[in-house]
Amino acid sequence: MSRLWITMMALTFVLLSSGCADKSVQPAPLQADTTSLYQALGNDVGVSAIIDGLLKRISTDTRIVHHFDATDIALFRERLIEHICWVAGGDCEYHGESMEKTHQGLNITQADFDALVGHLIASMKEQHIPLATRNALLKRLAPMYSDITYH
Amino acid sequence: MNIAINSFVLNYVKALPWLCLLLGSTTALAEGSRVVATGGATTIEGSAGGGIVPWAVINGYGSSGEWSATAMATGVYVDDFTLKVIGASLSFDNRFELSVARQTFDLDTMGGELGQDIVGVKYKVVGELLYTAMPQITLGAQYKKVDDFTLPQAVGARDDSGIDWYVAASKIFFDALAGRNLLLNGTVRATKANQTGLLGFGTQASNDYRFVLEASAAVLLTDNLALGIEYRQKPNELGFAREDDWQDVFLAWFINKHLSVVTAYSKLGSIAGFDDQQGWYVSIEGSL
Ligand code: HEM
Ligand code: HEM
Repeated sequence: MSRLWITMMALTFVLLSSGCADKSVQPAPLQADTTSLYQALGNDVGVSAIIDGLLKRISTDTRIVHHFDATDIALFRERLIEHICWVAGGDCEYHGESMEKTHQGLNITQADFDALVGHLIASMKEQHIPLATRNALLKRLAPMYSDITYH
Repeated sequence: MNIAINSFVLNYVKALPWLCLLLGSTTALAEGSRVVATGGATTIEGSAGGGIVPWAVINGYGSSGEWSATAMATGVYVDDFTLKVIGASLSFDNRFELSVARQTFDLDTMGGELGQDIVGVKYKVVGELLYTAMPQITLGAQYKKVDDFTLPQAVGARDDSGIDWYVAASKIFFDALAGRNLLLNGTVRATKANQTGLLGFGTQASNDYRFVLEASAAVLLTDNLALGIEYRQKPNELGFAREDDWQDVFLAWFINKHLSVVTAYSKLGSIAGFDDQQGWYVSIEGSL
């Protein structure tokens, strides 16, 4: 499954870089799709608003907030914005660690994960992100479950 | 629970005290963490699923380490019969589900009624509906016992009780159809039940299990609205009348994590010699 994820990421990169190399060429359908997800989320402004909404919700959720007691929130915010941009096929570089490494030792449960996904959906709704766009982002985040939970 | 009671409402009222007990005995039943609609609905046999097919989902919205409880009432109104069901379930850890259901089947045209009680258990073996490439797979069992064996025996049934065993696999595919999420479910059931058990179990000639296939597909049109179809193969063992496969088209409205309503149009084929039984299915479910 993580191999599938890596393949998808690699494919995204190949398509993105080939797009950058020759901007006069008509974008391939898949490339158009990957750039448009970041655009559909509202580019940097939109993604930042979604992440701020997410952080606001996490900070008042007693079920999961304890996981972030030792976290540098400003840095975490930057990394999350970068990460979502990267996942959504935006033109960003992600400077953080892998999902598996980052969440190692945090003992994140399925309930924690479900709670965070619920907050992400609520935050996207607040920013009036349409259903199809929300589903497209969830589709790319859902496979990270196994890297993030229970270790 | 063995006395047949005519009134559906009375049945519901009767169930309330122990339902409260059920809910009361589970401490700290906060709203579950799982995403809305992922608990599915509750079948006529009390297990989480669609209307007639049990899915691999666990009832309610409890996630890991969380409890959840549901209560439901369902009516199926076809040409010559009416099926009324009340049920409740308790689940833990998004892994175990215990359910009870009481069915009353009114023979509107023939006169009289049949009924059965069903106790179901379900256990999630592997996979996560939303998150893993592996579908969520559960094993389940439904113990069923008819109220009054007179009629089932008269038409050739062997036993007044039986156990159905099933394995179900479900998966949600994000962004699968025009940006909508798609749920697919397949279930294999081993059963001896005639007309789901309302006409008893096994026949004078045979006491063997039959394997049947059941399937559902649903599209989440919005966050709260699912449109789907179901197909349920049925054994056809009793000599006195033909038994057909069942199918339905349903629309489920998950109003919030506490309340959902399902309406369906169902085609139940031939029942006890009355052919082409079709009609509406309505179900309301509460969840904690
Ligand atoms: C030093 C370690 C930990 C501390 C100090 C801690 C502290 C807390 C606190 C203060 C709460 C809130 C309780 C409440 O809202 O009533 C909580 C809830 C929770 N913790 Fe931890 N926790 C720790 C480790 C863990 C670990 C390792 C896990 C997972 C395996 C975990 C899972 C949970 C869950 C699922 C809840 C939510 C419970 C609920 O919603 O009722 N915690 N924790
Ligand atoms: C799709 C789901 C998730 C994604 C995409 C995600 C992404 C990230 C990213 C990009 C970082 C920053 C990595 C870095 O600084 O190098 C991070 C850190 C962190 N995540 Fe997640 N995460 C997810 C789910 C969760 C869940 C469910 C929890 C727990 C409730 C959680 C708890 C944390 C914590 C505590 C940190 C900070 C670790 C530290 O202090 O350094 N994450 N996550």
